[in-house]
Amino acid sequence: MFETIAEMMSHLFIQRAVLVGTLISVCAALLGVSLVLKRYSMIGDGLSHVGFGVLTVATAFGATTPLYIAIPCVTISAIILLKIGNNSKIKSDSAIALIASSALAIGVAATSVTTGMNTDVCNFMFGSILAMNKTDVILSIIVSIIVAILFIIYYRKLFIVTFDEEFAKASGLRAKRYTNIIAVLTALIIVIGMRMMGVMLISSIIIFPALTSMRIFKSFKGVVISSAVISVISFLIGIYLSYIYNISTGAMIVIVNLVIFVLFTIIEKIIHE
Amino acid sequence: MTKKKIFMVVVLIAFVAILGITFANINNTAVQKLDQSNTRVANSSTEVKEEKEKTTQKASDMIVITDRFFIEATNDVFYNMNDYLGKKIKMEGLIYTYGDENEIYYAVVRNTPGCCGSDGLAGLDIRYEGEYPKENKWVEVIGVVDKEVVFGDEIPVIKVTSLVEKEEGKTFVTN
Amino acid sequence: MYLIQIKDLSFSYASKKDALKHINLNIEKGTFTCIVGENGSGKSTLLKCILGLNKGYTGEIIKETHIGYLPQKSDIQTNFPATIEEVVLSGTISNNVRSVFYKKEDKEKAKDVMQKLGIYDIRKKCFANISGGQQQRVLIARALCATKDIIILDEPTNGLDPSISKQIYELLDKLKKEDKITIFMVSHDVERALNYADTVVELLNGEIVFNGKPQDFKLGGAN
Repeated sequence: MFETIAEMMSHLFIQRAVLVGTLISVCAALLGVSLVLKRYSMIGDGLSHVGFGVLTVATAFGATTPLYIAIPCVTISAIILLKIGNNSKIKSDSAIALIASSALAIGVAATSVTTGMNTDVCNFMFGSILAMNKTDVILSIIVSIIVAILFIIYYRKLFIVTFDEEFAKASGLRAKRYTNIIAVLTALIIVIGMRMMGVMLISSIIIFPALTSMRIFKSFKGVVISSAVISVISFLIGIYLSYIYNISTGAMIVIVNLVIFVLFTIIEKIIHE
Repeated sequence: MTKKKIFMVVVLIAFVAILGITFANINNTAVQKLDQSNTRVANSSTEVKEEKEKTTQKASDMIVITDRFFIEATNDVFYNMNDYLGKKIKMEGLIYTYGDENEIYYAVVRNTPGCCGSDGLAGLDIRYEGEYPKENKWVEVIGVVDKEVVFGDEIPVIKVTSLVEKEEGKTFVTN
Repeated sequence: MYLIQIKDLSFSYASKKDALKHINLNIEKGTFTCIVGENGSGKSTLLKCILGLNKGYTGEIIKETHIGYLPQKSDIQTNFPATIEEVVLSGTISNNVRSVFYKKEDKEKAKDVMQKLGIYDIRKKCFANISGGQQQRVLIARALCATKDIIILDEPTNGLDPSISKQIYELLDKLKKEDKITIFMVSHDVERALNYADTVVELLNGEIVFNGKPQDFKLGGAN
């Protein structure tokens, strides 16, 4: 097995993928804890569809680094979606579905008209960790580090705002600001992570680790740390298995996440016997 | 969080990892097909060790595109062309031609899932001084990476130094 | 002395005009005040104005001190992974909003409060897994971390068994008597409130219709 790993890691582009993927997995998992607890799990899906729409339209028009366009667009969508969510729960469900499917449709239409369904589009949809040029890699690393640092700085406040928004506001925290921060960080991770996991699957790595951790860990700190660890382990095992079995990497990572989730659920049942 | 819980969690993660590893080892025959696999026969004689050192050293100067991550590996040559220019490369696949009445181009490819069915292709263009085999013949090529403008796009091409027809390998890849 | 003075407070929501009309109220240190009234009479609205959660009111609210708050229960908390310790500690945030980590004095304060309320031994337990009464205790502890002077509670005994409700009231009473904490709460539980309150305030359609001693309220008032 170790030989296979060595062989896999001998390729430069896989080394890059492992580095970027690990960073993205950690950040996605951290944000996922807050999002899942605030009942915003579907936002990952919604935003990734928007990201797809923007990326494909931008590529269809010949943009060389569509990431630079996608990031602001998705960020704005994130802030809007979270704002709608605050007003009425019912509205936010349909808002996400509406925006998500429209963006996807526009993206697909743009592709059919211009370049046709090619590898690029397939990569966007299903992920291709290795379809990254140097700029993508550097951008991903910078974004991940920013997300991680901001998460640590705002950890206390994120906990309070997530656990009890009323109390947070009464304590003088501007809850809206922290919700916006979560929105922006989520948008960033989704746009960067979409390249790796694909539109269809990016939201899984955001929500799975948190859901898995919550089966067993009962403190916020425990859940956060466990989510990050589980996310990285799932990523590494996933990429390795996809290498050996020739299965799409994004899908494999999600399957590993799923397996670990099931295992944790079983452990939970055992512990509570 | 009791110590018991922590322990169980660690055990379970290890369990999952071991499962994956075990499955991987069942597939060891796939590894044998590769170039470097000649050296992996468990044999502690010094002769074999020397050969191993030689082949791995040769391998590290050369980029070998294998069955695994074939699509990703060839894509990467496109995306990061400058990193590959001038490097030695080896790959296997089917001969493929494309072009128009003015110019026919050749490439070494494999079949991949397209977005609508199994009609995708992935691979790299080749430029060979000798006679090209017929289309769909399986070949192993060794060469140096260069770039060329084809139909207005700058793409990587392999300037072939060795082309060998071989028994058909893995024609369909998924990642 | 008055910890909070409310002068001619009026407030309208976008969807509801005149939710509060010309409220005048003073909260004296060391008292136990209960706000009662029908649904929609403006009780929660009043609390939110005092706490600064409702903006754009007319009139004046003068606050002499930090206020600890116990909001109505939210269903996000039903399965939330957080230990009692984490929840109580979060109450100290209003003391130093700027810093990144909890300070030593925050942790000590939380420890004191938890010991006082008898929840220190279970501090590592998950908040979602303890009883309703214990949860309210934890939230009161959290509120006490924010202040030494006054806590404002929004229907703290909602959904609790009568015997547990009684325990909560006993606890609040004890805090008032032993630690001189001023209690200001909204309650649906009029009967019980009257046993513990020093002052009862009844709201009807956004106006104060009674403000006086519980004995008088029982007898007459606007009831």
